[in-house]
Amino acid sequence: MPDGDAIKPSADDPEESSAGGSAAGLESSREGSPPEVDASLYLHPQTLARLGSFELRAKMIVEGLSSGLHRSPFQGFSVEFAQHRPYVAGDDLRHLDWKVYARTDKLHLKQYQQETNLDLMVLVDSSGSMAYGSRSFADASGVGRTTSLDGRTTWSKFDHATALAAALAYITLRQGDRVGLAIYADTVRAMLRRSSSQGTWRQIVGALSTHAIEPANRGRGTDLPRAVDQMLSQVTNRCIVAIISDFYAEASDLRDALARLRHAGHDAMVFQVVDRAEEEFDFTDAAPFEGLEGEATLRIDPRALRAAYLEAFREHAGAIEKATRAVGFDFQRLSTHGWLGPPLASFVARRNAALKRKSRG
Amino acid sequence: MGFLNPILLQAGLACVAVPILIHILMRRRRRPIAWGAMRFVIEAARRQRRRVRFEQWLLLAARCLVVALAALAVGRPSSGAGVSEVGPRTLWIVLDHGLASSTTPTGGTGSDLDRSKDAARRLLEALRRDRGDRAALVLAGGPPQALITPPTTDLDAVRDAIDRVQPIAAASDLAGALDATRALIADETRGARIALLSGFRAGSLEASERATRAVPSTGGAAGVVALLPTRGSASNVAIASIDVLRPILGGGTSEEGAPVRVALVRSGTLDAGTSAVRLEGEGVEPVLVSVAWAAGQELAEASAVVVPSATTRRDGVREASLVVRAAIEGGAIALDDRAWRAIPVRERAEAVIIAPTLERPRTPASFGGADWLALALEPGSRLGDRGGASPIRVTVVSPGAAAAPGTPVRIADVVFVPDPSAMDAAAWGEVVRARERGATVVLTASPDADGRGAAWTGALADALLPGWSFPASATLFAEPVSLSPERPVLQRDPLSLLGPELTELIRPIAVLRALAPTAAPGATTILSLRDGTPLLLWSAPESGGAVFYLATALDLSWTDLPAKPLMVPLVQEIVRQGLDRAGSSAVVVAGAAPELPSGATEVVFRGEGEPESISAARGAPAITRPGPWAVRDATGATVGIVTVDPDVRGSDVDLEDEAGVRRWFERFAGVDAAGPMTEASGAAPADSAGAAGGGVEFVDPAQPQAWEAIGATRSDPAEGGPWVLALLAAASLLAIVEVVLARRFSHADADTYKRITR
Repeated sequence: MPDGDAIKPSADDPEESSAGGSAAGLESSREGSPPEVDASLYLHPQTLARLGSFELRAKMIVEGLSSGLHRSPFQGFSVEFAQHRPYVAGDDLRHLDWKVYARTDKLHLKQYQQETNLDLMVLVDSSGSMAYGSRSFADASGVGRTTSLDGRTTWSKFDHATALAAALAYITLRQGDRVGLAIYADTVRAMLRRSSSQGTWRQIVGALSTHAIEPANRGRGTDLPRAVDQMLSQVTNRCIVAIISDFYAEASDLRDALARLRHAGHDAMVFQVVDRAEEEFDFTDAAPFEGLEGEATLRIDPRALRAAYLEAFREHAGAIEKATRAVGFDFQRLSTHGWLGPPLASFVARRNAALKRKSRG
Repeated sequence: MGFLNPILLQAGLACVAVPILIHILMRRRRRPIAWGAMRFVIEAARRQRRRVRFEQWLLLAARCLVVALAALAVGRPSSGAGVSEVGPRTLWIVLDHGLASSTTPTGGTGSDLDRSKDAARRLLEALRRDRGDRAALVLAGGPPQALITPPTTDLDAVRDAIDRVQPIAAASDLAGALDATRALIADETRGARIALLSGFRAGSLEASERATRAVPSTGGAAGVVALLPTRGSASNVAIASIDVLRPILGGGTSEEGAPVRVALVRSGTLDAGTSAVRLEGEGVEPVLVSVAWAAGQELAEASAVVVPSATTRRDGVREASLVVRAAIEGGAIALDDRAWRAIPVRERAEAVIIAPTLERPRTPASFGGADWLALALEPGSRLGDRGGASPIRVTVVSPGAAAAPGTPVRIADVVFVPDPSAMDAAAWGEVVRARERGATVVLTASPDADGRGAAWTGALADALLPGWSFPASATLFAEPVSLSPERPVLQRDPLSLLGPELTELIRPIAVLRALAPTAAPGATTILSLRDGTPLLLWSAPESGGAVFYLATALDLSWTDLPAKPLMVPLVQEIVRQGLDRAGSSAVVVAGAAPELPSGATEVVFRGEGEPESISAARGAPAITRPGPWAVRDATGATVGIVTVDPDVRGSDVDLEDEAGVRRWFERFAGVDAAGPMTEASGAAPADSAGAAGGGVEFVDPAQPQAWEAIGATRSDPAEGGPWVLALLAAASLLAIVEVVLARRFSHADADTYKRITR
């Protein structure tokens, strides 16, 4: 089972030295979560409650799956008991360990080594546009905090992406699979190797928290194909890739990136995170708009441009979804003003149902 | 096209910048919004750039246009020709406060001046402070006085000044006031108007007619508005003059009185009636004289002798003169019911006879002219019954000593020259100086005219009587010629006090020889022979003094006059008349400057009422307050009396018809009033070219709307109404359109919102 490695910054990009530093830091703190990180900031109890009964299944046949949860292309491969885990609603009763139930009166499933071979690679966009948010942090975090760790009072798209990544990692880790993380903008700026150890989840959340979009990073655009290339160069086995971004780059870039993943045999889930203000563009007063990715500042009357803006926005959103579904991957748009649990649960359920229908067929 | 409120217009147009400023300030005030989905904003802006820019400019233009239209509306545009001037108006109020202005019409409660002041107040109220209108005040009572000039924006001060204006006893000088106003206006004809406020009674106009003046060219373009002539009839009696016919000799201690004649003049309604004239004063006994008026009678006289009071007779008179006041009651004008006159009082009169020294005793048969004169001047002393008691001191000097140092000629009140042929050039020179000093010179024909020729007549004419000519020899009548009982009616008759007795006194007189002038310019014949030969001539040149010429010699071979009863009263009266002319009192009418004695530094009012003094250090001042004024020198001593009479030339209360006023404007005010007299009662007459272009416009003060119609006011709310309403309607409509466009362009309306969000 290959292990993921931290990506070292390339020498031709001087800005990556700091990102690389972050990655090195993550590498060094892999054994323990950063003390300042409160994981509950990004994983709301409601989200946890909604995700408790779901498992993430690979739509495609992943390597290492034989008789467990995930189907494996390696037939006849020995099955080795790995651990027990508590039963949750929806688990196959065939894997219940009745002996344990007889002794302890608790339901546990037996898990085997080869069933944990589902690897989830989470790619989180940290470009400048992800720094935007209009929802208050106190309302979104759900733990009583009014500001983020870096002092912001608004819940940005990156915060929402972090929460989503944490939730996905939670699901994956909970079912004993490995999770890796890549934070990218115009390039991969930090990466956590895949792991299923107990501290992985906190490491992921810590990495996302400590890698908030710095002012120096603002103005950076997104280069998803490049980031995917860099990620693929570090991943040897097939896995599920979750890409979390606002995808305010060209739809063709996403199409290219997804095509490369598809060609490498990976499964992918595309999550587009948008802010409600970006969806509705309901400003009333004329004001200058300053782009977060280095665009020119425009002094506009939002009401006058609203129709054209929404038209362009919807065209682009449709193009993103179309590009995703064109290669057979799943797409989900998430609003920062909504709770993460319901749409994510719905997404996983739909995905698992589709997988079951496919396996029966 | 002009504007009635140019200041508001300018302020409103300046407000057009407000929408632009708001637009700019709003742009600066906004904090930038950090935006993630900038690519869609850029895309939307690229798609909508032209439309948004067009909408913004359209909205901004609409907003500016709304403000501009509102500014035009508050500016009150008008298409009238008279309002083409943009800027503040200047109203020059010419207020007639002359004697006639104090006329109170019969049955009325207010005078003409009150009417004019009320009109002036209305004019001021119609001026607009917000436009920067100004006002000036010129008083038209003579002499014209610019009370508030240059024009001021403090209209309250002008109103207070108008409230304080009181009528004066001087006649009005409306034309002079107009001229003075035009001179003050000078080049400021733009927006300047003159309001001539008067009742235009005959007294106001006639006095102006007497003052001939050239119409100035400057300021002639300023329009004139004037009140319609008053129609309130009145009846007035004025004291036209008061004459003290001869002074009082003996220091007032004698019972000799001063005959006083008061002339009355009526105007207005001339009904039959009576007027009581009361003569009174400090130090004299009051006298009441009644004058009966017949219907239609305009002139009357009242005569009385004013005698010193008992106190005066006991103590004498310290000052130079007594002052008598004539007063009447009633009449439409109170200011002309009083007149004052100084009564000259002298201790004695100085009479000098220039003739060879008398040799006493002489018999009447050998008396010469000097003897007869001395006897007539001092009849008592000559006859030995009142020796030294005569108030006339007679001094006889020889012609050779007449010009000597210390000659009594220099202090003489009357100089008699009974034998001009004996005079030399030096003696003539001294006589001329005495006459110029104010003395009376009495000349007779030389008894030796035939013997020594008439050469003396040439010297006489050269020295005293320029222009006179005499025949080469005296006329010898075949038969004695008596004097003519017919005497000419003279405005001032030196022998008037002799009255009806004169006819009896001249009857016995016969003249055998006479040397009458063939030409006597400037002389008045007082007595003449039956054949018309002038016997006694009187000349009172402007340079001072008086000259009597008796065309016969005081010699019994020429006439028996010296031996007749007429001789004494004739000589005595001539002496007293000479004293009046040599006195130190002066009479002027109100508004004129009196001739003051040399050394005068101030004149002090010494009549009843508030004390007042006027400096005379820079020349004689014009005095408008009627009454007696004492002339003081630097030491404070009284050196003369000036009595100021009301200028009854301006007390004629006759009404002038409109045609007469129009003619007056044309002839004396230089104002074109040829057109029909207009009663301004609305906007149209106010805009007439006549008022705005140098003509005259008449307004009826009884019509309230007339004041708003006067060109300087323009405060009629209805004026410019159609323009204002149209502009306001356009501004309102445009404002509604702007609101609709703003909502549509901003996509804030519900339909658009629904369409977007659908």
